[in-house]
Amino acid sequence: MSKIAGLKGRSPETYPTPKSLGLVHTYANVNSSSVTLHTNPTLESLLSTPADVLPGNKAIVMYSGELETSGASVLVYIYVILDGNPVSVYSMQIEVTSGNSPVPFSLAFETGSLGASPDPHTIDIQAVASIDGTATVAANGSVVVISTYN
Amino acid sequence: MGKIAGIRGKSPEAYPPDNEGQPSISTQGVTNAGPLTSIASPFSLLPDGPIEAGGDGERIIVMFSGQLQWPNTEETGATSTVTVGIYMDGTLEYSIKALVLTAPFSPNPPEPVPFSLFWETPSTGAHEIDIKVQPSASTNVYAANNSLVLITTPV
Repeated sequence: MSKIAGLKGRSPETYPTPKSLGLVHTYANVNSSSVTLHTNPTLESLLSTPADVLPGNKAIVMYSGELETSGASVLVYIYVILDGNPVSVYSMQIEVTSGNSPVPFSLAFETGSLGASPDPHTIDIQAVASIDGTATVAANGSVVVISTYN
Repeated sequence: MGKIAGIRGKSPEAYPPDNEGQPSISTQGVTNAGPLTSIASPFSLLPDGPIEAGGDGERIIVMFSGQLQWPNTEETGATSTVTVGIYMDGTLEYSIKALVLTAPFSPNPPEPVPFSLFWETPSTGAHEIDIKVQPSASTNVYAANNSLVLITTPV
């Protein structure tokens, strides 16, 4: 079908609303409070507020912080949680002992292109410890999320 | 297919907006292999001190990675909790702590402690960004393989 003269470029089908390709949005938050960690299934958020990401965007998640224990050696599992789902999109494990804490850690991860719902998507950083009651804590967490429309 | 008379430049295909598809960011990066050593109050891990970045309506994302270690051959060190922080305009804004071991603690010689920092300036504008380290014990600490990346983004 040929285009129609005089349309002035406003047909939604022919000229859909331009997307801001390549433009970036950022979210950042520092949680200086200590978070006491527990064993599975009690995941504790390391953020004071989960990050929001718009549908259709990819999100680059960067987090830095520290872990500490005053008791026995403990394995800490760190998860990147998308939309509160029980299955993480990325995880890592860190051994923390009284002999090496505080131990700094960080992660960097990019999500796939996020779907139309929910709007907005949420990204959280959560953690559990392999042993309870050892006063394992995460502190001085800083998260930066860069989202781009793709 | 030819262009259509009367469109007057409204065709996104023929006349896309100038800034569409262009990332509105700028970046700066610097590395400092070191090793650096000092017992002075917070000392910079950057080769030439603070870096100025940002501007009106812009925020700065700070990304830094490096490693810490005690010099195990030069002195009798002391295990220390080392603070590494991001300074904005001379003020400590965000920091983490790391335990840096020294002999005779295992492993001997003590292994390096890698770390990274991620942080974004809470306000817009031009700022001087620095990364400084301070040991809690009055003994030298080595810092090496430092790398800083700044991403400036519009808000």
